[in-house]
Amino acid sequence: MRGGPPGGHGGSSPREIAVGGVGIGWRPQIDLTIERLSAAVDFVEIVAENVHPGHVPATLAALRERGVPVIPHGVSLSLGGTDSLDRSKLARLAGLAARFEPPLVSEHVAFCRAGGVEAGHLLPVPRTRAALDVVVANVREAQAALPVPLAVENIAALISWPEDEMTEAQFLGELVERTGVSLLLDVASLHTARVNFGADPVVALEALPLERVAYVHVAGGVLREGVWHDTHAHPVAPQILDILAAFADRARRRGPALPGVLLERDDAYPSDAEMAAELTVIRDIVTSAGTGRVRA
Amino acid sequence: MSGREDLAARQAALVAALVAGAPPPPGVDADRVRAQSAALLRKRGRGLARTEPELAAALGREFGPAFAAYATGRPQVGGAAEDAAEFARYLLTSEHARDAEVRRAARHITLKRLLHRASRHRDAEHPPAPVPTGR
Repeated sequence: MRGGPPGGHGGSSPREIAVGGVGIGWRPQIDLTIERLSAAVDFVEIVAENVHPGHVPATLAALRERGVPVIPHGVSLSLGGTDSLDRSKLARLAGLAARFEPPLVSEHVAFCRAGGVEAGHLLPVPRTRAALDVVVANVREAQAALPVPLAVENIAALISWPEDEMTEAQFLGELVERTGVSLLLDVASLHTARVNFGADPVVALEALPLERVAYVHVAGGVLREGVWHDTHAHPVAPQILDILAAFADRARRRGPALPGVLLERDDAYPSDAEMAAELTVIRDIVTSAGTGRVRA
Repeated sequence: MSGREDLAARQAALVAALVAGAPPPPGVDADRVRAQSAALLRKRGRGLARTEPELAAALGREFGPAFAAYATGRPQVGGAAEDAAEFARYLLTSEHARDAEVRRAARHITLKRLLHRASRHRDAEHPPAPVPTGR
């Protein structure tokens, strides 16, 4: 063990933890990289829209055969939208859950389409009571249709709504309370909110129900004209790793078991060595959490 | 209007501003809408280039400007393959069609799309016979 004794004292592990260790987003473009780095990969995630349960790529099926957890992650269900949920997208998530038997599936607190037009990406929901009611109803519908628990993720936004009545932590906290949904905490999104809206990530971590975090996302991005873009195509910035460390320290206080942390990379794929180095840095942060050890 | 209808209208206004060239919804930062709109366009362009790398290669450095000219104010309908077919049709009537490589790649994509549609049409009219069971 690299990190020394855990700093947490007593307290049971939160039941929400779905997977532990360090994971990586499985993509067909890096399937062989993941195969080569498999000793450093404890779990993977797949984009639900891109994998058909009946036509699973051989490299992915092999990972599952070896017992590596495979978490289906939807990106277009539009849980924050006012249109009724797309049954075929829900069926895809359920089908992948049946195929891979993951501890859970995940989606986003976001909308992707409105007025019959696709935005092509995740957009922020106004943090109002009315919008919270819509998300609660959609999450309940999704939960009812899925054979495994659901976790929902905070998104990286460029736009905020003037009608926001709550902080993101309050909105997510109420959503968790009303639906029992778990959280997929994206620390890169917390950094995005800091740069783009001045929201302090530590304040968010203090306010969020961290005991409901099932696993964590970390990813790189880029600053363009004062706006943070969560590209998943750049190395993970030190400020994002610091938020991960702050989360891990707080999570460690609850007990020795920490939620898994997954690196998302979707473009401009680096060499195996660079990818391995990023996974190592993440693992070191998670292992040393709560020990008071200062990261180099 | 109910809270839900209000929300639907606000969300539709934002999406229209982002992908269909509508003005930003009242109260939403116009610069950020422009930045998000540009980011969506880049993401859509990357998806198309991944689906049709030969077309992207034929266009080379012209890909970005050509795709922006095509996609600005024109929301994506369907997946990347449909988008690529629309883009190819657009290119064939643009100045880019003067380039033989672009013309060839674009024609190939539109033809591929026509064949795909025809096969789906045929399958719908004459569904494949059930697979005989054993013995």
